[in-house]
Amino acid sequence: MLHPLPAETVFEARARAKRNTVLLFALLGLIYMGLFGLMGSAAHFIIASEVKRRSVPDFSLLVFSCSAAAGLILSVFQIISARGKNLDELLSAIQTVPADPKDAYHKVFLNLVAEAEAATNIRPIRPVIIPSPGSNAFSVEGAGGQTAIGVTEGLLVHLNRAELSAVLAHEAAHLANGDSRLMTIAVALLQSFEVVQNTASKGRIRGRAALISVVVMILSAVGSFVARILAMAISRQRELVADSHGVQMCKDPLALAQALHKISEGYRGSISVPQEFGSAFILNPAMSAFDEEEGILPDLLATHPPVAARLEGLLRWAKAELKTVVENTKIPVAKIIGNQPQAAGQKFFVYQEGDWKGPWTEDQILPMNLIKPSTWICPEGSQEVVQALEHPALGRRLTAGASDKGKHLCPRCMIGLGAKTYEGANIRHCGACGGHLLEKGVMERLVARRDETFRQEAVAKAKAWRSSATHDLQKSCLFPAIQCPLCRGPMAKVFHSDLTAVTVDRCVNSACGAIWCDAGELETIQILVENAAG
Amino acid sequence: MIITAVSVGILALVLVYGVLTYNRLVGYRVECDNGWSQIDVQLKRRHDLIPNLVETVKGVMNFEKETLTKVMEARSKAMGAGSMDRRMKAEGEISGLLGRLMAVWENYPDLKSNQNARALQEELVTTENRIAYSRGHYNDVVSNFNTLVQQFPSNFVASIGKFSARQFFTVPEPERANPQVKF
Repeated sequence: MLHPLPAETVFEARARAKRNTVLLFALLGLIYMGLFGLMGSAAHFIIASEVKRRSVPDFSLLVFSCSAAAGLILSVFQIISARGKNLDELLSAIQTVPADPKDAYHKVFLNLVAEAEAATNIRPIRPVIIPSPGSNAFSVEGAGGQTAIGVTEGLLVHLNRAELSAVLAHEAAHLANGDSRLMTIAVALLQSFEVVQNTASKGRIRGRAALISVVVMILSAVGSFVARILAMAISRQRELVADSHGVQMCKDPLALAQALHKISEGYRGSISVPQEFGSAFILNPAMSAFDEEEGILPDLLATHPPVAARLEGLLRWAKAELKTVVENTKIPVAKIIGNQPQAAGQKFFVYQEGDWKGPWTEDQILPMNLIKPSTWICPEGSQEVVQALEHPALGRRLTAGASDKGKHLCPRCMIGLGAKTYEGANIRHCGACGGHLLEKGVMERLVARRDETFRQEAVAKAKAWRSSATHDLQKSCLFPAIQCPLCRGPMAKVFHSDLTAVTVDRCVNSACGAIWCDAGELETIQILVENAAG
Repeated sequence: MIITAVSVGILALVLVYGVLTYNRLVGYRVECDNGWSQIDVQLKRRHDLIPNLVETVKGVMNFEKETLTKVMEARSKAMGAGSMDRRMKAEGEISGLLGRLMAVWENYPDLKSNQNARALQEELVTTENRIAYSRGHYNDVVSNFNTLVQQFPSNFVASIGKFSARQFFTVPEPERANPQVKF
């Protein structure tokens, strides 16, 4: 039932998985009603066996059907209360943030969601981001048919455009087939058993009533076990439907295979979501070893089919082999925002401390604190030595803060902050002291992204920092406390993390969440995290 | 007595079926109209992007001046076209010309280092994809509609209600030929 049959086409696989879903639901419904009926009959039997009257007609069939009907009504209540959750509630349980259209990576994600809307004609699909460096993607549907697709920051970094497109096609297929609603129904049936089990186990009662409640508890325990197995089987079939339907839409089974391989090999993120959301993701964030295994327990209880089985089907449709996938996923990824050339633009030599240093590009020099408007520079390839202020491009960048109107001010220097695009995100930068202002959520993105390569000196400096850093917050930073440029609240000195032991200033107001890094701190953090992650 | 009752019953069933099928046909037809307008939305988006594209690459892509002029001409033709046929032909021309431009994009390193050009390339890629997906969706809904119109016994209801099968979105002949890329 789990594995795609040999020589099955995409269309046949999809149709077969749909048929299996119908069969599994029918089975689940029968067992559900049957067990409730049995509970009623058992209660009736226990009561009636005390009362032996020949003249009483046999109610057993009536009792059975009434209890089955009662179970049905209970399930309807469960389903209605589950479907009442609206999209905002669901998304806040997964802890998502909206995508930022000014961020280059998020813009590509927004475009891909718009493509999914065009392919499925489901509008609007809300695009959201999980600020985690792990890789995963999910789709949900809330009350009133509101839909959303979400990805982690890590996914945007590790996949190329084709792979990301294939993953989103899979998620869009889930939305098109209403899988969120189907799983809600299956889980509601499961929860009805748990509700009965809980109510039956409460209270101290004696005699016949105690016997009845024991029987009811046993039957509902059996019911919830069987219902769980069937619900998980339904979840796995829906994953296969989404795989084949997604491939039908994006027409690139190899890309989906590569994406699944990358996600399963990598870190899925410590996304702590409530257990019932596991099946909303493309690979369950909770169980990673579980879905690699084959065997009785994963076969019964996993929310997703084993990755190997999914790859088998996809590779057959792609007419490719597993080793192609493994090789393709080893080469450095063609980033979704396009590979930027290493050192873009003009390089400069800088006269510092009696010597010519460099050459470096504009973007490398400015954060370094080497350069003041009066510093002598020589552009690479020319013999002309000028003061930095006189060079058109550098001069402009250095005096960028000069007109401060309408700009946020550097909390140390009180001059205007210039805007800069760094690794695809928009951050603000002080031309005088070299500090960076990051808005809420941006630090996680920069730590995940690997666009910048750092100079040897910066790496050495970062390592030296790490080995000598004191862990005393007050001692380790000499700068005074500052005011948040965005919301004017106070900022507190915090360690970025135990790993880096770099102190940054973070805005106390959690809605604002801005982070200020003094010169070199952002670089140091990135280097230390990158080196730790390998 | 019984015969009248039975025939009235059968008539009622036929009428109910007729009404239900008629409504299904209307629903599918509205979906087809919607699908067509979605393609239109994406094509208009492309019209809006083209002047920006030409401005950005004009100074850099020295060998493609002819292609760029042709793109602007095809765009005006598409925006001003009277009949659907001529419109679709012009849109096909635009697709072919843009395809050629994207194929030679890699030969201009100045474009790779330009942030605006990179963002624009992403916009072009996504627009072409959206057009392709909305055409695919249109064909899917037309397929549903045509099936209901032609199947028995709904074809009777279709002819009474004057529903006729629609055409699929097919690629006009010139676009099918691979664009010649000269270096």
